[in-house]
Amino acid sequence: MKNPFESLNNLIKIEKPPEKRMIRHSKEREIIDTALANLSESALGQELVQFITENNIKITVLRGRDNRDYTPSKDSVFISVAEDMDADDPEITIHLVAAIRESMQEHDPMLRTPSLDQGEAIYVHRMGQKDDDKLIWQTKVTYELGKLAKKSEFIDSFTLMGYHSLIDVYEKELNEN
Amino acid sequence: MNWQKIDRQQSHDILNHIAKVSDPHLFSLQSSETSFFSPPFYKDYFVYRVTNFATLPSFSLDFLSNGESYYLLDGSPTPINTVNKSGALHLSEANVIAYTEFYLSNIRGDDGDIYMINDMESLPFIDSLGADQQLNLKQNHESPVAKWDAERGHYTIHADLFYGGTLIKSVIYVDTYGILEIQPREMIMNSKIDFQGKTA
Repeated sequence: MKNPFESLNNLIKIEKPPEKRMIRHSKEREIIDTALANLSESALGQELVQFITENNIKITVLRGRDNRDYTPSKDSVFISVAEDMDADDPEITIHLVAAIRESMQEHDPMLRTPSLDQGEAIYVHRMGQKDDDKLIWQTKVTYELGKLAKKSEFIDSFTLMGYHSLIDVYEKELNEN
Repeated sequence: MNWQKIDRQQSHDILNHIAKVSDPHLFSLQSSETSFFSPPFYKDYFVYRVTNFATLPSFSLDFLSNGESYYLLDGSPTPINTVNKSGALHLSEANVIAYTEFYLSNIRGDDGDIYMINDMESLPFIDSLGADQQLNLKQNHESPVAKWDAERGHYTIHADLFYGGTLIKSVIYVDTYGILEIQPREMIMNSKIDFQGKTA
């Protein structure tokens, strides 16, 4: 029986000094530059880049166990990236799309996070709208990068994230219109 | 793990410490809180969980800390190995299973998360299994057992592990520095479990 834990055993035995940065990613600058360069190759991505430039939005890359986006306020966006992940992994750009879009939402009265004082139903409904909106932007930017800019690795990453069907739906919509 | 909330002042101290090295918005004092648990295998080190509830889903980071040094549990083995080397680790037959469960739950391999199956009902993916798979798992599952091997100078744990979509009866060797080595014994299920834990 081949040992399925072989790479895990090797990972455990690697001796590395502790990261000096408490929570920030060691390749933060490279990751941000790469992701923004990717976004610039898509029309919608350019809107996101323009938004962060015009509004002085700060991007921070955290070291994380899981890759995800996180936008706790309208002026700061965070993405969490595993330390051993390649800085040019397309998944990072796709998460950055969601993080920046969430910041844009906070500047839009129709998509801003409501206060819980407005009632739980309104809050839950709006949060659902915000999630859907982020996913639509991720789909469109991934489509533009993967199909129009011919960077098929973006489609592959989106597929691994479980969303390939959204690319098909979006492409069908475009063809029908 | 028995998480407990820490008092407001201590929580603010930790949040301010994080704000200094990142961004005050990451964990704002108004919407964030800190909890901790005391691992039975560490002396003077606690696990702190800082959570911001401003977003859905909420956002958390876990740290190993003695109050002075903070090591982010970032999915790599380095923070745990570093704390172990400081002399804080005190393993025994009574706590080595808890240690191994903690270690495995805080690292990520090439095939994603790895789970040591201790309590069947608390498995995060148990509800995603079919009834026949759940029955098969329950019939074949044995709770982890740990023994000290004085001749070889390590603990030996027999445990069922879930990794890469497969359930495997395994033996885990843990040396006194807390370094693990895992060897498979037999598959509990031959076919891979259809489990998608990844989200965007």
